[in-house]
Amino acid sequence: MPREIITLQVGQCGNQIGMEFWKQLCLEHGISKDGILEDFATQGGDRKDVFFYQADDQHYIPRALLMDLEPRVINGIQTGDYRNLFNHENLFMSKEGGGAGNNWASGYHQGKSVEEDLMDMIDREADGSDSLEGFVLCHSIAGGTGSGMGSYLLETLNDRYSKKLVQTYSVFPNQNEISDVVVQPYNSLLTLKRLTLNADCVVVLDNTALNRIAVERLHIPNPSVSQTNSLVSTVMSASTTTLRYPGYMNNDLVGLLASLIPTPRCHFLMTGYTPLTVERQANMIRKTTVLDVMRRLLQTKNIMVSSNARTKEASQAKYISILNIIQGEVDPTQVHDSLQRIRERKLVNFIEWGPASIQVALSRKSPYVQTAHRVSGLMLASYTGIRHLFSKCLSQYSLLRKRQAFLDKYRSFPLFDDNDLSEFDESRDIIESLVDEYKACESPDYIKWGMEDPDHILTGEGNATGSVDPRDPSLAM
Amino acid sequence: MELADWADLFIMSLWQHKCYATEADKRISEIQGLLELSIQRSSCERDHYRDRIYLYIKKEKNMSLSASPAGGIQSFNYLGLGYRVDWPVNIILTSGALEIYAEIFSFLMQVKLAHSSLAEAWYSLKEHMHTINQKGGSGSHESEVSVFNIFMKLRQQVNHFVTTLQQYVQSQLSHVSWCKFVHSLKNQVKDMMDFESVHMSYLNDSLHICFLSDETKGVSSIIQNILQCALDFRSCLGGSTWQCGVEYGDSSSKLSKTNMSQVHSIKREFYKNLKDLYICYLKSPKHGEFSLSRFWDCLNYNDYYTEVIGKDIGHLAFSV
Repeated sequence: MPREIITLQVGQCGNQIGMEFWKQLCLEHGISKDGILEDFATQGGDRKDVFFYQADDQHYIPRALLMDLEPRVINGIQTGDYRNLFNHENLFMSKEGGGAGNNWASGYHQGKSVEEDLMDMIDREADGSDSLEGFVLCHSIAGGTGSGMGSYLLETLNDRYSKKLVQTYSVFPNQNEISDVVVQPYNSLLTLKRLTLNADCVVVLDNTALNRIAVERLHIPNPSVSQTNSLVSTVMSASTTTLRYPGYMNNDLVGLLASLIPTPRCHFLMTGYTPLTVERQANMIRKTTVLDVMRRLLQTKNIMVSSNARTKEASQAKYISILNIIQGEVDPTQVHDSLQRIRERKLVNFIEWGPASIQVALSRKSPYVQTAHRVSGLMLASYTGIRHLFSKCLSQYSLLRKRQAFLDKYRSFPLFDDNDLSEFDESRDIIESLVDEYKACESPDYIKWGMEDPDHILTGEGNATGSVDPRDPSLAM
Repeated sequence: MELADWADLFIMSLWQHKCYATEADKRISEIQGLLELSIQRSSCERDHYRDRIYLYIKKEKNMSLSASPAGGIQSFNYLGLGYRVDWPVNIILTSGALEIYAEIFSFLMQVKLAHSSLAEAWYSLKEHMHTINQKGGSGSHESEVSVFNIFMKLRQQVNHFVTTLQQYVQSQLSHVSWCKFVHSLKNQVKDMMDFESVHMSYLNDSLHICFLSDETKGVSSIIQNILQCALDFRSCLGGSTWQCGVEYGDSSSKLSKTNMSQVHSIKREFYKNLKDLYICYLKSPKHGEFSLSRFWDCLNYNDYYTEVIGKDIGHLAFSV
């Protein structure tokens, strides 16, 4: 019984990173560009059926829906090497084809107007699953389609498939470069509201950090979109490894998320990867022990979320949970000692309000993909320092909003008509409270037992007077 | 077969089909069918040895276990996992050795059961959070958030325990002791007698890792109690069915209707057992590859428990 996952790739960025992800999955599972299992792919033991299904003629077809409001990227896929991979019924391009003009409101509104078409496709794909576990949305938060239509889809999925998981791979804009999308802060804020309220897990892929990694770590002076996308697809495929190559633990998405996200409100994950290479780049990695991999994963330079915090604030940041997925030839007997070494050296600053540790998953590696490095590792972490990224989004939004700049583009759509800009205010409030929640997580008093009982809800367990005995040591936990 | 995804599916099926000990005799072929289906649907579907696995009802413990409450952590302890072996392998894999494997399997089933219960509880909680979000800042909002926080924190703690236990067992049992066994096979075995003794020493290590040896009986019962907390926690949230994504009804009303005294008694039980475990740890040897101290090091990775429990029983730390 596979726990199937349906991927929704929305907008230009979503489809580009989605395509890279499928290329990587095809390579790892020995599936050709046309969806045919290669003759050499006989080793088995992998679960192709989580992300693919087999057509009547045994072709593997991705459980993927490709959606865009302008045809360029999807047309490229349809004429490219992988044109026979996808189910052609699973492609959606707006009839107008004019795109969303980098306007969240346009993407959202157009999403709403084609809801029936989109949901028909999603329902059909869901009906074809044996035991659907959830959806993965790939998109960017700053443009028009991935952000606006992606937001609409998140709301609708929450409504229609409330019992399923919704995970996203969300690309955040590069804040170090001047974007040609001037309304990026508006789009980001409105999307962040939906990611906060309607997603169960958001894997943050920060283009600021991805570019920094490409320049500083990979020595590419002007990284192209496809080069940073290659980093994204590496993270996406590595983070799904335990689902595709099952072992004793982390075999399904809920198992992964239920440990990584103990606080459902704080469900944004940060990633780190080592060794960082782009396609065909000569291998520069030297020694690779478990300890080396785990140590590197904690280094800022390998982390795919930029830290905008001033030093003092950054030092307050705490890890809520960490999962390291390590692939390749490692000595498994080193795991315990490596973890203890990291603990002794105090390399990780954990929360103080509950127990926390580094989980390590030693995962199998595709036998069909040869890499120059012996070991690779991905870190998925719930980290309070991510709040600085949201704060940056908020401050950029405030700057633009203070000047009342470019609001006319939004006023022409129903959600903002009659000059009703409350959607912006509400979104800002939600992101502010998200930042506050993460900040509260940094305190040892976050969720203090006994303190949160002003109305004596817990009277059933208290003493004769109906209050909780403050001397009960279990209250401290 | 060590890729235990078939075991996940099997335990889920047992739970869904309520295959408790009471009717086990009549249903053994049905249960065997569930096992075969689970293997068929897992990544082990093409394993050459898959047909050798079978189930049987443990005789010696049958009577006492059928009395254990349905839905408890020991619900499926009556089942033994058998493995058909031919000559000459059965010289090493004797019936005594296979019983040890079955005992370890029962323990691993319990851990899986607890882990899945907590995953299901996570589903309920995240669903409840969506409902709270939709309601916004109404009058009852704050008290609902408070109740939610209590659940969230208790789940986080129990989940950390169970995940850490899984991680510890995986690392020590599947990796470390196995590597040690393979190494001994290569370097110490000259004849069948050596082979038998190296294998038995591997099994003894395995029992010790899972806290099933005679010396670790005390730790074992503490762990059982904590795993039971995970199941009780799920039933507190009204999760009577296994499958994720089932209809739970209005989740907000469900949490507020939850019997808070039950939640608190789980918390007390959890804390009491953790304290007992800490005391066992203090008394246990601090060195050795397969020891409680290794597990405790993982459990107390961020020193949270030494902070909380250490303060509580500080005087004991000096008296041992």
